[in-house]
Amino acid sequence: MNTDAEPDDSRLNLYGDLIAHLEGEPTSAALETLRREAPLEFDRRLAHVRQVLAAAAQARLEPLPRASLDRAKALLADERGRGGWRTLVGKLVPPIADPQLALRQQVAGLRPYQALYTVDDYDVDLALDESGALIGQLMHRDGDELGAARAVLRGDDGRVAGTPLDALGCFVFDQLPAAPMELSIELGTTLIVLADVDPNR
Amino acid sequence: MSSSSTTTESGARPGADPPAGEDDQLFAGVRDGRIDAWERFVVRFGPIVRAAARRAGLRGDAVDDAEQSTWTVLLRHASHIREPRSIPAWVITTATREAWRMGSLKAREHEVGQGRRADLGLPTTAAAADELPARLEQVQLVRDEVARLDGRCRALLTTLFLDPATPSYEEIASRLGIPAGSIGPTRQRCLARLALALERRGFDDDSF
Repeated sequence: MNTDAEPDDSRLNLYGDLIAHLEGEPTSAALETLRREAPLEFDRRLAHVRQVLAAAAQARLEPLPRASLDRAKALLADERGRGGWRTLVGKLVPPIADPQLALRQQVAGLRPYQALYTVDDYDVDLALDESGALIGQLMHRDGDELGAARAVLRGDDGRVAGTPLDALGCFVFDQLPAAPMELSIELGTTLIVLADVDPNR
Repeated sequence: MSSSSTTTESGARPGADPPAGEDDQLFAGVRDGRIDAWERFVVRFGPIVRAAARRAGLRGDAVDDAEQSTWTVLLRHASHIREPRSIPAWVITTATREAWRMGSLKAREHEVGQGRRADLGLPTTAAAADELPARLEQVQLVRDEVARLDGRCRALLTTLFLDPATPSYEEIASRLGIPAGSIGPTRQRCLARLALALERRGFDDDSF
């Protein structure tokens, strides 16, 4: 498999000359010219080749023992069986006639989008404020403290943004990726996932 | 032209890593909990994970423990990672962090201070531990780009730099069906291709 559809011949020749130079062969005329006329470029290219050769010299790695692979496969089954992590998928609460969000932040102006998700012992409020930022709040139904948590927003365009939750469980995303988005909240070993977050709906 | 027929204990060919573009499919399978994807993932990154443990000074069972600890962390956070281009860096950073953590535990078990850490082959400073991921990322990048080279260069550089068996030039010439005298010039040309490919991948960039 060739990653170079049309190899840059001059750069290939340059790197070839640099490798030969580093390995003690006579310096080519082209390389001498480069060293004389563009010493910084020469130094940069030389340093790159040195690093490549150094990394290549270290690239021979111990093969993976069969026992390691077997242990890793058993680990997958064990983690799944043990429930090493919880993934909870939030359910969008059906819209009600006059939704009142329990957001503790003051939001000025109209909210064109607001949604309430419920999952296990948690509620997640989402809304779009007048600036287009997505604001949200995670709450435990019994009022338990949340501890350190982080929200990650993934868009349909592949963009990802993350932000920590504050002490009240609130978070804000100023720049939104393309909808529909997926919002996940990492809370210790629990992951709360809200799929299909779409302020356009 | 035949490529290296040497296999590792786990059945993988050295340097047989998939091109970087297939990492997204591979990791999607891991996130979905597919055992076949997980097995390929472990085969792909297992060597660099174990290398991280060894270069952090661990030996024997401690290398195995650090490796399994790395996989545990990966499995528990798999759903958080959506950009496969960051997978190699994430794996290596996690592996070095787990190795460093185990090394610190080992130092405490032996009740050694900073001065004797070197005797145990452990990094003596946080800076030394911090340099390790960057160096290993370069190694993994070299392995990935060798796998992406054209057939002749891929076969030659795999045999020269990745094959654990370290064959002689005569053995290489025989295996690849080329004159032994042409290995040197071909090697230089292939290394030049590798250097160019690595430049395009940001090999020297701190932001890798």
